[in-house]
Amino acid sequence: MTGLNQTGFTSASRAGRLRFAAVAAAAAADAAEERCLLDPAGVFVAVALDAERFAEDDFTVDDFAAFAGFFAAAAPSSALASTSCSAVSSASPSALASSCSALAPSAAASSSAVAASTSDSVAAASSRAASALLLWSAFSRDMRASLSRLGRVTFRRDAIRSSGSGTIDDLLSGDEADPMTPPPPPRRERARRRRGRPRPRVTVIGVIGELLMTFGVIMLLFVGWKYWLNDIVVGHEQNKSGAALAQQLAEQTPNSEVDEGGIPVGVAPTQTNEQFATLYVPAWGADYSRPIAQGIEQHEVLDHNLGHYPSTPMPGAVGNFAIAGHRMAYGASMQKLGDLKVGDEIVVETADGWYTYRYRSGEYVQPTQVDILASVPRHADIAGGERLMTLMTCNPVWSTAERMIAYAVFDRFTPRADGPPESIRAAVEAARAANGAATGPGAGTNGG
Amino acid sequence: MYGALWRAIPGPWPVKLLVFLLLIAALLYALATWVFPWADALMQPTGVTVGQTSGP
Repeated sequence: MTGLNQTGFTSASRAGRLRFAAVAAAAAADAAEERCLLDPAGVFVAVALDAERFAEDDFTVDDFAAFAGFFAAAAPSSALASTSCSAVSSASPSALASSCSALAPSAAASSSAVAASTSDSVAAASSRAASALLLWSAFSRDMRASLSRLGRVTFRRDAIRSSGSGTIDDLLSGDEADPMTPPPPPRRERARRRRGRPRPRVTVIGVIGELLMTFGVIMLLFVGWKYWLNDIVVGHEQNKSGAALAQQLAEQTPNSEVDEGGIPVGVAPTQTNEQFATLYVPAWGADYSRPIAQGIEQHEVLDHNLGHYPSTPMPGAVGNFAIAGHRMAYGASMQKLGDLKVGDEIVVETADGWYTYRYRSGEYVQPTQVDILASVPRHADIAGGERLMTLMTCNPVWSTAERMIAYAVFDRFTPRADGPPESIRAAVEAARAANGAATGPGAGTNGG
Repeated sequence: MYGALWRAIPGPWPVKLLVFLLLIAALLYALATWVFPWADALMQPTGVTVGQTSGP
């Protein structure tokens, strides 16, 4: 009996135990169908209190039969429920008792109105079994609907869940319950309602995530634009600029002096960023024609032209005609500097005509080794007599850590009257044709 | 965000796709024309030239 004391069933009558057992049977019947998770302690307390309260009422075996039959109707698919159904059809307490062995002692005790200690202990055992079943199966919606229709008790799931230990009034609101109260909605609906409003399609987190992804894509696009797309666009523009400059040069009256070797050498421009020559390198593409401007200021000159070191002589002169250009981006006018092979022609067009150099050698130097610009590169103390050309760009690609140097030696001078050298003739004429008759046919005859 | 944009575009899905692609093309054009040159000017490489005074 100590177990009963602990669970608060001491004052419960046999009818209460019967009721409790009936609840347990119904729970077992429903367990086959559906299970829901409730606070086990809350459920147990609710059932225990209900049993205790019900014990004060006048409760007969007929009531019990109706009670069990109702649950049988509520859960017809259960095997235990079908057993109860047969009990209801027999309408006999003894048949009912024999049909359900767990309930038999209590039912017999009820009919004979004798409370034996053995039946008490069996009732206690069945109570524990019922508690275990309830803990496992909890209350299905069918069972709770059935209880509320009985008018005896209404289990309020929310009250149980929110109250934790719970008070009687929280857990049981049976007497006020409307017998016609519709059963709670199916579980899926309940679950949806419990989660609150349906998730909005546009969420703050979602927008932030999409913005971040967009930003990342734009960063990649920027790299692609800077080193690929813009190189193509700007390179093409610079080729057109060089070709247009060549036509302007053809119309200019040369400002030059013929040196002792019979080579006309132009006077250096006085203005920084003044374009004075066009570079052709057939090895870098048939349409390669980039303008050369005075100065090596990064943005003012180099972003749009090849830059001529003002400290070095003009094309064709004795000494070292040195130019520099970008290896990457801004048209990448010297991207292929490392592809030059010995003997490749490098043609510089000025107002006088075409100076053809041939690539001889290359090297990599530190940015501070500016003596490569000397008349004899790397030997600033020697006065050389050669006509050299130096092309310089950054190395390695993507970096400005070093410089790539290409040395070329003067090969020949082609006066404007002779027309462009054979290696670039097709490119020059194609560029003139592409630029149209803007400069007219006189462009080729204006040389001198 | 993009889902909302997609839903905001009227018409059947081929029209939506066309409008969507046009919007993306317009965005790319704006980026390449204005945004990228502006950003490029903000992050120039350094050490391209060593300075006029050090040159011979």
